[in-house]
Amino acid sequence: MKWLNSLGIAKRFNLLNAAIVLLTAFSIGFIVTYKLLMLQFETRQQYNQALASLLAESSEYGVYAHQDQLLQNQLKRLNSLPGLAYAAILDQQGQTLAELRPAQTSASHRQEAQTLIFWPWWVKIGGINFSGIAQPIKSSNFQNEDMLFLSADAASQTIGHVRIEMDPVYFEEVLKNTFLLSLGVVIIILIISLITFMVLTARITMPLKKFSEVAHGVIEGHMEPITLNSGGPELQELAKAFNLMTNWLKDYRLEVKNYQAILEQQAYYDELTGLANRVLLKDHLRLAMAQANRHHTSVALMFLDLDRFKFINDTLGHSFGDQLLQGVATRLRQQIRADDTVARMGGDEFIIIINDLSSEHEQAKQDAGYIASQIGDSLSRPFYIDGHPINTSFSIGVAFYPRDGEDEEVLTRNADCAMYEAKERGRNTYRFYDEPLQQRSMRRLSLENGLKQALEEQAFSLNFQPKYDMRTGRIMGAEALLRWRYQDNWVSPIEFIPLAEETGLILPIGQWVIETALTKLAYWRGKGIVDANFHVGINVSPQQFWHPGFADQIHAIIERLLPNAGHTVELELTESCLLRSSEQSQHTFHRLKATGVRFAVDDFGTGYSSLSYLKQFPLDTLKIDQSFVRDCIIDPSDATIIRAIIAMAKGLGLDVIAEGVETLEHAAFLKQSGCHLLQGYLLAKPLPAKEFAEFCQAFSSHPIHHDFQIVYATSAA
Amino acid sequence: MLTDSCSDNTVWSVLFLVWSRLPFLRITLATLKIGITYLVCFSICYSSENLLVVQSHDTTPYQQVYTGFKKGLATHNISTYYQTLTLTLDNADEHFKQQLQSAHPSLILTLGTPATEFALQRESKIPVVASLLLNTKWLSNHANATGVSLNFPAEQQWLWLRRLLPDAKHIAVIYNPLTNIDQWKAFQQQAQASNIELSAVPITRIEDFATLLQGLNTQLDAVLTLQGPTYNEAAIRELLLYSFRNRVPLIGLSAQWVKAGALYALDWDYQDLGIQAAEQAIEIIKNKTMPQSLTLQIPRKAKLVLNSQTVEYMKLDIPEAWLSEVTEVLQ
Repeated sequence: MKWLNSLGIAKRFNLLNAAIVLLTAFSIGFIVTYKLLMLQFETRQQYNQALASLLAESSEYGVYAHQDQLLQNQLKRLNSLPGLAYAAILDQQGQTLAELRPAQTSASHRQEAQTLIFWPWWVKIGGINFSGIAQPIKSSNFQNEDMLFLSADAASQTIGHVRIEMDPVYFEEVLKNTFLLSLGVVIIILIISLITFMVLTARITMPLKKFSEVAHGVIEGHMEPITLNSGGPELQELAKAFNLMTNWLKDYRLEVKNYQAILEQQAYYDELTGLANRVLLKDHLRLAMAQANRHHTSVALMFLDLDRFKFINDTLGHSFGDQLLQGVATRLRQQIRADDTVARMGGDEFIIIINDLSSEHEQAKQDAGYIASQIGDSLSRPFYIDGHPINTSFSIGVAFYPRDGEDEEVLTRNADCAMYEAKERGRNTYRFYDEPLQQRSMRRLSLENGLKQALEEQAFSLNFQPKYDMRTGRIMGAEALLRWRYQDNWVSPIEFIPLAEETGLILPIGQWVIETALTKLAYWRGKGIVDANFHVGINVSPQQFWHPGFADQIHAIIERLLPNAGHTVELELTESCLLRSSEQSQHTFHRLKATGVRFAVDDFGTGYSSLSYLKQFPLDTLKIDQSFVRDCIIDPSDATIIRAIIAMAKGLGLDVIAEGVETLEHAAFLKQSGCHLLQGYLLAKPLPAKEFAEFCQAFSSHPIHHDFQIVYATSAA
Repeated sequence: MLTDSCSDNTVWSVLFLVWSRLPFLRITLATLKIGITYLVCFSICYSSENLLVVQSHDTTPYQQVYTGFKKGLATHNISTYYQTLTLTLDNADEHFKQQLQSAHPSLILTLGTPATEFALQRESKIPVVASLLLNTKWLSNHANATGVSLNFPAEQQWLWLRRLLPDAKHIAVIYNPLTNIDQWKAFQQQAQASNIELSAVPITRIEDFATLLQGLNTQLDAVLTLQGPTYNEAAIRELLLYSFRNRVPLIGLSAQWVKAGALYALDWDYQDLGIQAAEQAIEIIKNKTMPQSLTLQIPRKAKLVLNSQTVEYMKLDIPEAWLSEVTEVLQ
């Protein structure tokens, strides 16, 4: 039935109608034909019977009087009677008096009689069969008084017979003609019906076709309503429903389009800045590379990172940061051509694709450098956010296609690498990617990977640098300094700490530092190496300090390792930790303060923030940065700053300790300025724990005691 | 066999009413009825004359004759009990014997030639009065028989022929030389007297009728048929066709012939024929006259029946004077 399913509804209708009409017409045709033939043959039979009766009656005299010629003449009249095969008049003894065999009894006729088709079938289905008729010829003899009364009751006697036989060939012809006529009528009915039905079906299906066309239009996006001029109430109702549906679809499509636009925007554009996102950037970069291949040009990919954005974001809040990013995006857009692309990679990282640069590298570098300078100039201007001027700096790394990478990933990585180089080179600048840069980048990558495994491999260690109180001549504490040995080399904390901060490893590393430092302290105290007032200074990064669980973590470690230890832990915070005065920061300070933790401001004087934090947080010590101490003897400015810091600390009731004290002159100056606490190479360089313990045990015989006496004497003089 | 009672019909009506309305009494009443019937019949039989009527058919002419007969007897206050036998019934012979034994009829009335032959062949003692009789040869051979013939006298027939067809000069007469020779001779005499030529068409076998008819002159003025030959339908039809085709008036045997197309015929007053027979029966019953002594009678009344359409078709000029004598004009 596959072929049926493949037919259209109109053809199915027509087929069904044809089948019904054919069946009906054939049935009715057959019945009507059968009935008509039966009626016709019955009539003919009656006619034959009547003919025989009449013949018998008219032959009475002839038979009676043996008028054979008369009888023969009588039969001759039947010669033209259609369908008559044989007629005869016989006397009482069965002797033929007259007979008639019409001309049909020819050879061809006999042949036809042998090849009858319809007639046997007709007889078989119960049609009237013309069997021979034998009609008796009766004659009434009037005896006696009967001849007077001509009484019908007079006895009659059979004096002969009339025999009539019909010709089946004739009726075969009648049947054939009738059947052919019926068939013709059926075919005419069928044709008329089919034409009628086809016209009607076409009229009925016309609205459906219209529906189909409009529906296809809907598929193609033409939301046109359908208007039906015909089709009856059902289809009109359907058209109404269809129009409602198309209206709904129109609204829905609009809605979907809007959503699609939104999704597209979300998918391809950065929500905050409206710039292209990674996905679109990738696409544009691929396109730019293809165009460059086609036009034999080059493409510059600039990786731009805002310097200190994290600091701004952390200190001034995300809203501020977001507005800054939007401002940066606007300026970047203004600096590039329409067919160039600027995208935000996330955070404060932007990528700019500059198309159609010269295939000559030097020329391309020159053009790209010019654009980078322009971008730098535009970003150097302060941003005004909520009325506050914000100055930012930037670092741009530039990589060229195809020279510095033939796929987008390599190109981006190399530009990123160049950007880091720029950042390291002093910010507010741009840097082109080259081979050595790549090597540095590789190292950085290697360090990142090594850092991730350092804790497990116990590659970290702590060195302790003693803090010395010139007034008592005692070691009052030590600063724990993290050291990392990687691939048989010591890696500078300046190199790996920022990496740890960037990768988030600073948190577990910080915890390890605190636990290790306190474990050592506990050990030393247990061994009597240090006294009860000895404290350990531990550096804490802002990321670590701002962690919500930091206070509880420190508290738990102290409780576990040094219960009732008092002020034995001093957390050394950079100024950036103190810039965010939030409820969380306050909570951390007070919680740790309650535990007995001391707070020192590390590298004091090198930060950019205001000094108001000094009164907001419960600080204990200010650590004068070694950069001031280093040249304080020769540089009056540094000396002035140191004196100011000391004075301020004293005014605020804070302890003050100088870092980087390397000479007795430094110590003398500090003592003279009012700073009695010092830390530096003058006393000892940072020592491994074991050496530090030995140092402490042997400190009483340390030459510094003698030297300080000289210093005191000198200063007193 | 029919029982024709002369008793009071009221009794039967009451009994029938009870019979039909009270089905549960039917058996009782039926038994009672049979008994009463036999009693009544028995009493009647022994107080009145038992008559047996044997008839060839039970058609209208026979019924009219029968009615006339009963009427004739009734006028002479003769109480009679009739039993009737029609020959068309099956086992007519058995019935006849049973009725003779049970009713002991004092007289047998026969209606029609076959009935007369039947009765005379089986009974030679009981007086037989025959009526509606065409062939009278049987009566002359039986002493217990007398009756009324249907044959009108040749003179009477000739008279009416001449009256109605006065211009007829050449007339053919169809007769059977075996039975109608006397009549033919009588007609010959009449014709000779009137100087009219008669053509004899003697027929002994009906098979020869066609041949005779073909040889018949078409210029005849009339064809007269006598009762002698045995006709059949075909012969009569051919005869009538001959008459019409050749416009030769056919003088028929009865009113039925006239209806079929004959010009005219002398027909009978059947009731009067019955009365005539009754008169003979009275003579036998009352006066104890022997049947053989009673003369065979001819019909004393004749009805002239004329077909006006035939007259018109054949353009005949029937004298006005005799038209008023025509008893019946068929149109």
